[in-house]
Amino acid sequence: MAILDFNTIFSSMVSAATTSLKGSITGLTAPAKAAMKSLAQYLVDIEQMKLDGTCTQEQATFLIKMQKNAAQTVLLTEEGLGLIAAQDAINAALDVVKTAVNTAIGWPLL
Amino acid sequence: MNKSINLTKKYLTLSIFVTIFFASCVTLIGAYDQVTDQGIQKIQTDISTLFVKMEKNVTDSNYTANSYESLKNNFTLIEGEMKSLQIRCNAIPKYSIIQGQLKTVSDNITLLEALSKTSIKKNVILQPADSAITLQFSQMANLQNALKKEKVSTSNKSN
Repeated sequence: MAILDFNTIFSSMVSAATTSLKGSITGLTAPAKAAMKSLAQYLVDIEQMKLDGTCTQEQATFLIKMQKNAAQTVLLTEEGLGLIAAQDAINAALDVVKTAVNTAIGWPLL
Repeated sequence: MNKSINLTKKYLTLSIFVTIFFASCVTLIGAYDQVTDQGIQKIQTDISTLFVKMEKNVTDSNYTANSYESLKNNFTLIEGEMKSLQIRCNAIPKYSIIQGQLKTVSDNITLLEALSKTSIKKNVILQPADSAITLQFSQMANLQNALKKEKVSTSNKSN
């Protein structure tokens, strides 16, 4: 009989990640939460596969490692998109004062 | 005294050039690279084809065709493409995030290869692997599209 409960696992994971990210600008983003949900689901599925005899311990280890790597890719993407947003914000801020600053100083600083 | 004034002038001139050079545009992540984007798409196609092949073999109970020996050439091809792409990205400035993404995908290809060495007799084993790698490629495509959009908006501004 299966012991793992998806909702319990998922909420524990989200709670731990939220605590870990406390104080960060973005917090736990939706894609990161989705990746965690998928990881929690596969942990439950693997327990079922073990019970059904369709999965060996070696295969389960490979599959969980793959899910962890996928979650890492999601977080890296979030980081990259965040950098692009920050880059756009800084450049927009510089752009809006560009003409005024360059004209006032007389040098093409921006 | 004159020597000191000259030195200050030289320092000021250098500071102005450095300011002009760096203040014109802030770059936090490397620019879009079409070759990288196409390389990612090529590897994605090859991996998707491999998954379809493996899943069909399981469905048809053709386990010999799913043995590692039968699939070795597919893995070698994909790993070669991945290595080549990683080398390219290592040479692009501020590409650490894309390098990191490629590393996680590369690790998953290695794990898929290891998984294929075990006896896979049910598609239920392949599906989590397939979904993990598919998720990785869709995430990489998201970032590539954002970089591409960034490139377009930058070139529109400069025109």
